[in-house]
Amino acid sequence: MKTDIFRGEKLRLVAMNPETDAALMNQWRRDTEYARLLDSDPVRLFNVSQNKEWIEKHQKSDSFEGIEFMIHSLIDDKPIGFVGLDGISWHNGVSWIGIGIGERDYWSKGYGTEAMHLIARYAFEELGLHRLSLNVFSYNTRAIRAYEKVGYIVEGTVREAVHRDGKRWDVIFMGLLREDWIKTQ
Amino acid sequence: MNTPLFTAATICLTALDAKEDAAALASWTQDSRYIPLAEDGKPSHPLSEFQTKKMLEEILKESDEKRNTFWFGIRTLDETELLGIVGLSWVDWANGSVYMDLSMRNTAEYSQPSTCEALTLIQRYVFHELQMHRLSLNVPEFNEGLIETMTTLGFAVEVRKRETLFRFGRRWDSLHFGRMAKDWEKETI
Repeated sequence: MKTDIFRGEKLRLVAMNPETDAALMNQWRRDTEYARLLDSDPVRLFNVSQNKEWIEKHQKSDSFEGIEFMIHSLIDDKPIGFVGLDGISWHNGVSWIGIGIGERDYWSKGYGTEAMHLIARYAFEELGLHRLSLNVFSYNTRAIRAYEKVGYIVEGTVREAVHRDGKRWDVIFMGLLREDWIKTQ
Repeated sequence: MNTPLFTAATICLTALDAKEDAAALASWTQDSRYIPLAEDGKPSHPLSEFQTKKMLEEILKESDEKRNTFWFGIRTLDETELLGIVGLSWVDWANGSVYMDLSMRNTAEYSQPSTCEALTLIQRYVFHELQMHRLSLNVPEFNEGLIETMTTLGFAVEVRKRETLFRFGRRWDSLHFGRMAKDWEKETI
């Protein structure tokens, strides 16, 4: 009861700020490696006001079908990425989850793993969800390792669903049940 | 080259019409066992003709505007009866990947030749008309008729999403079926 569930050991989850975070998300998207880890859609560039409108639209919505957080590192309170739930299905008790660490200096240092842990705790202990789902491209081995540390299990492989640089890559589907997550705590 | 894309032995694929098809779709949803088009996260419940007309208008409008969805009515050859709806709800042009949705008028229909013939036509449309590389369909574990039909047609279970659905008083897995163009060509052409 007394724990601030939005705070971990090295980061905290913060509400998105449409004014400042819209520009930051744009800047990250110009990093092709980052953009291609995030999404299988052709990478597009949005201007700052388009991004700001996107954030505001989500924040204005009355139906709670998703939530996005910025990830701030505690050491310098710097926004380094985002993590969010989307497509929450309340009667099924499930949600999709997405994460991106835009600041390269914070890659491979455990920030993604901790953010995934905090959002799972929020989903299971605050929202009462039963299951979280995600998919990840087969070339994103760093993310797969992080997800496994949090307790996600590979549930299957959608073959050759991403076509980039003349090669086809698989999309790995992973799932985390509440009971699996509790065992890792 | 001139094999009909939209006609099979006992069924044909035609355009959907929001006004004319709303009543049939509404009648299907009055049975609690009805399996809706997509696992869109909303509880299923009986729909009025007013609601199904709006739903059909929305999918047809999106199809017109975005050009990455395709919807068909599965009908008897004389086109007097609507047996089901099949849609390509996400054509991912850049990656050559397609997601399909299928909803037949009742659970028994998934084991009938109509379902098998519709899926056969759709595969040809996806692989030889749209030139796609792969085709996906999510099927709830409780749709046993469709699972059998798809397995017979050569679709493979690629992902078993555990306990993703809550219906009929318990949790169920969702199966992600996949079919590759190269496998379809090997077995069909």
